[in-house]
Amino acid sequence: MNDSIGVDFGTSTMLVSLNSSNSRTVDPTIPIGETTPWMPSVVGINETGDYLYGEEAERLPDKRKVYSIKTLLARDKTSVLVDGIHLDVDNAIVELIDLSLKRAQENSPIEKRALFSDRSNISLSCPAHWEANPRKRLSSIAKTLGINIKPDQIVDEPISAGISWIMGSKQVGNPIPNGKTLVFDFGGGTLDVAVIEVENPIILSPGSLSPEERIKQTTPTITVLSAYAIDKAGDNVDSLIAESLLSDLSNMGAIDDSPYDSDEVLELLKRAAKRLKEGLTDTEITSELVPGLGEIKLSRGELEKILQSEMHSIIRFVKPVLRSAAAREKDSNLSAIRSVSTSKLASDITQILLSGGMSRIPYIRKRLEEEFKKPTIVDPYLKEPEKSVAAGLTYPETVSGINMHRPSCDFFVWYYDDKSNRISEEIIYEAFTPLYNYESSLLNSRPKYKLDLSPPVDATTMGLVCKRPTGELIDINNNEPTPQLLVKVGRDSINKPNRFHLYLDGTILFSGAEVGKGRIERWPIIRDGLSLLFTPERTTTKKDWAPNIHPFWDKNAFYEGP
Amino acid sequence: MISKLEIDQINKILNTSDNFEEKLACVFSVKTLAEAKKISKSLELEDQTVVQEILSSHILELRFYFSPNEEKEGTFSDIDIKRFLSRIHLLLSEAPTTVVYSLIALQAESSLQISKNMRKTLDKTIIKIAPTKETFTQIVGLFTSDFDPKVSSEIAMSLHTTPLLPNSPRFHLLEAISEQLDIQYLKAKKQWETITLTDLSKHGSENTPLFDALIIEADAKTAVLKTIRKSVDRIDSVKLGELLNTPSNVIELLDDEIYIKALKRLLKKNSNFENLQTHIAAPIIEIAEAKILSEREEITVEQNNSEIALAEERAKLNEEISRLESDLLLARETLATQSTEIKTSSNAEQRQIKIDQLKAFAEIFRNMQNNHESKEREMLENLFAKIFNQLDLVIIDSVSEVVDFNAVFHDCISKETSDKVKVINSTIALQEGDNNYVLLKGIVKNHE
Repeated sequence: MNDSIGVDFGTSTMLVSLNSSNSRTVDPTIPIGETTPWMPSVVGINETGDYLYGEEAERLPDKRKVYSIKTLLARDKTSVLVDGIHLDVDNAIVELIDLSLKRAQENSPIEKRALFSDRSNISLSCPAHWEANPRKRLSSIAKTLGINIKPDQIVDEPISAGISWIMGSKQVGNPIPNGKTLVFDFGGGTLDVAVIEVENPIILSPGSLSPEERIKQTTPTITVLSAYAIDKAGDNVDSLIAESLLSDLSNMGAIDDSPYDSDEVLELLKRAAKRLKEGLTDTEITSELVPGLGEIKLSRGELEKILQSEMHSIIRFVKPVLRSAAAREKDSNLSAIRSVSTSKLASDITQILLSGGMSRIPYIRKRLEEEFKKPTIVDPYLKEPEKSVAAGLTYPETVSGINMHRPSCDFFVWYYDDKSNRISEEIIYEAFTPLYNYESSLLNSRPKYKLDLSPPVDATTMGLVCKRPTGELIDINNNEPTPQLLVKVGRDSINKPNRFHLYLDGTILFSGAEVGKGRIERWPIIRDGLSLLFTPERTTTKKDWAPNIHPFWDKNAFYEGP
Repeated sequence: MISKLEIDQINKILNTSDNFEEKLACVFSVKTLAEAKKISKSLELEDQTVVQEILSSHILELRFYFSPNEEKEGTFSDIDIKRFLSRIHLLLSEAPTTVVYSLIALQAESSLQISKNMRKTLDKTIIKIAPTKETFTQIVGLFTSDFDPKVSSEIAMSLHTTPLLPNSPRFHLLEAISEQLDIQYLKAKKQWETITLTDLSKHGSENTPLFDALIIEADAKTAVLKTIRKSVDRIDSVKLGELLNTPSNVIELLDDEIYIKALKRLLKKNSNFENLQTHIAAPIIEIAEAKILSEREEITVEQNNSEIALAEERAKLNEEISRLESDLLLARETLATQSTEIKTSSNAEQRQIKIDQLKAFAEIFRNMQNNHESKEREMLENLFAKIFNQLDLVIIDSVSEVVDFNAVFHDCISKETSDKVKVINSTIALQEGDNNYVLLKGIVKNHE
């Protein structure tokens, strides 16, 4: 394994990890905070107009700082007003990541510091629901920093958390956890959920392999069956608990004797809530001493009541992710998936892996276990669950080989005239676009991404082309001179034959006067020129669609798969 | 005075007798305290000098009752004497020197004959009379001229069954002895064995001349340390607060071992702070090893003493050694874990490990701050500062202090933070060179 660095640019905190081939440690986090392993992802502008980052920015008054600058990438905002000054979002993020890397370099063992000079070995992550644009922006920000990471190489956070656990097991010599795992990554700003599947390779005669080959061949195959995220701040839980406690204290008249006004009491209770919610482990009741208010108690029953609606919305969010994972399977029975119960949906999940600060709350663990009837675990190889994402990013070989739940490439159509001149181009699928609406589509029809094409009037042939978000072509049919799928354009059909369908199980239907149909078995994160594997199933004809195979079309040119 | 009268006899005396002393005796003869109170109120006790003289002479007569060589008068029992003693205060409108003097003198002279139980009754009698500091100053002055010096150390043992609280009769007595007689009279182990950690903590951290004088006495010192060690064995956060709140001159006696042991035991009880064990493991090992060695030597010395005492003492010491050895084992295990962790860590990682443990310790301090009233809290802060100093921790500000708001140090709970804020919880920082890194931000509110 090469030395590799992972940067978890989180909504509220940043972490940096370094996994070194010489190191036997499985907690690769390098402390970058003043007194914490992490640094706050805060940017601000002081009174003299200087930009401040991390802890220095955090100390500024609220009006002078931006807390969740990462979310502005997803909201397509390029600047934000901070106390009357326009703060350039991309530049600020560049400085923030740069600061975290410089601190990590300074805090690394001397012999490892040089690794930070060459930034080609750095991996980044993002929330699972990010589509192409924020990924492209983050990639561009990384480029400014000398980090060469393509948008499709940015790893979804829950996936990285899962990899940390899987590869941590491997690194310490424990068995790699086979099967499906639900990853539940609940941090300060987003709730990310993913279903990942691990398949261990079967090696018949490992003794005959060279050490390099053995490492390569013993790397498990990881497939992400589904992943999604919602903006849900963990801090909100503290507020809910504090408000409930305040209401109880007010009813008892306890606030009247306190030296604080109700706003101040609420703030004190928020700070106590943070510890109270984590204190209910084995006990039925826990307490905290709050100045001026005495001993404040919280029982398990009260906490359950307070978090009931919050947990309900969390469970409601996890269900479609599980459904989507089931639908990702080839030839999945969609009508069954639609009607099946939650526990049935989770029946082939082996465990629930928890990461992020909110996974410290025992009640959340308990509710997930009850709802999905599966045990929960926290990455045993890390001290804090907050470190999972950054730790997973330090396994680039594994990350580059994982199979994603949706294409990380763009699909285009190139249109040709009757003289085979390319006359125009149309983008038909942008990388990372969800294939369906997570909340509802699975309930209605076969989940797919579909688009009616608009060929120019003089187009006679059209080719399906696949590109990385950076513009490099990907060979989808393993035919070097013509890395595209060509079909005749359909005309004047009431059935609108010129259409592109992308199904959850990887099936692609590219139809015009002819139909090109195949299945991309895997949607891997692409590194080092790895091709997509497009396996044609058949070409079909319909009455209106003349079975006129274009001269470019050669079905034998399809890569037949392993 | 101590007589057994029937109620009709008592009524007759009260109604017809001209003998004041006879009437006074009725207070001690009736069966219930309520009746005694009733009678004492009905008596004209204007001339307190007479009452005091009568009571003093009767108290001193008890010497004969306690003396094994004297023939006991009548058929009085300990119960009759206790009844007499417990009603003396009913007849006194002030704390008379003569009566208290008699009670103390009785204890001093008959110390070998008085049972533990009776001693407690005598002490209680003095407490009920509530003598002042001046009373004791006068009493001790009387003893200097009247008593054999051998008896003087017995005088100091009066009241030793009562708490040694600030301004308590026992405290005043000891103070008077140390000032007017000699500190050597206070050094008896027995005296100090009854002082609890709670008693000591009530004196606060301020220097007390009495304790200052005492700590030079080896026996007293040994006894106090024993008391504290006993408390540490059953430590909880309240006891730790008391430990930190003991007078500073007593604190001077304590090794860091006591604090470390107290904290370690406290941490054992609290899983939130388990990490701190790692941080303190190394010093515990050194201290425990030294202690085991010294106690083994103590056994050797003890072997020269009588066989019975030796067997008992050896059993106790062996028990203590087993306990320490098990502590040592635990400490070794935690240190071994820490060593493995540190071997594979960079300096920054080691620093982070240390910070995480210190944060847990700072949390203990905060918890204690929230658990104590202002005066105690102030002392506690001073004393915690002493331990913090060894760990490079700094308490930046104190509870209730009004300070300039500083975003580096403070977390304000008020809306629209003002320039001046009042501290609710102290800021705790780690000092590294010239820099202070805040581990726990101080909670503050706007100062009106």
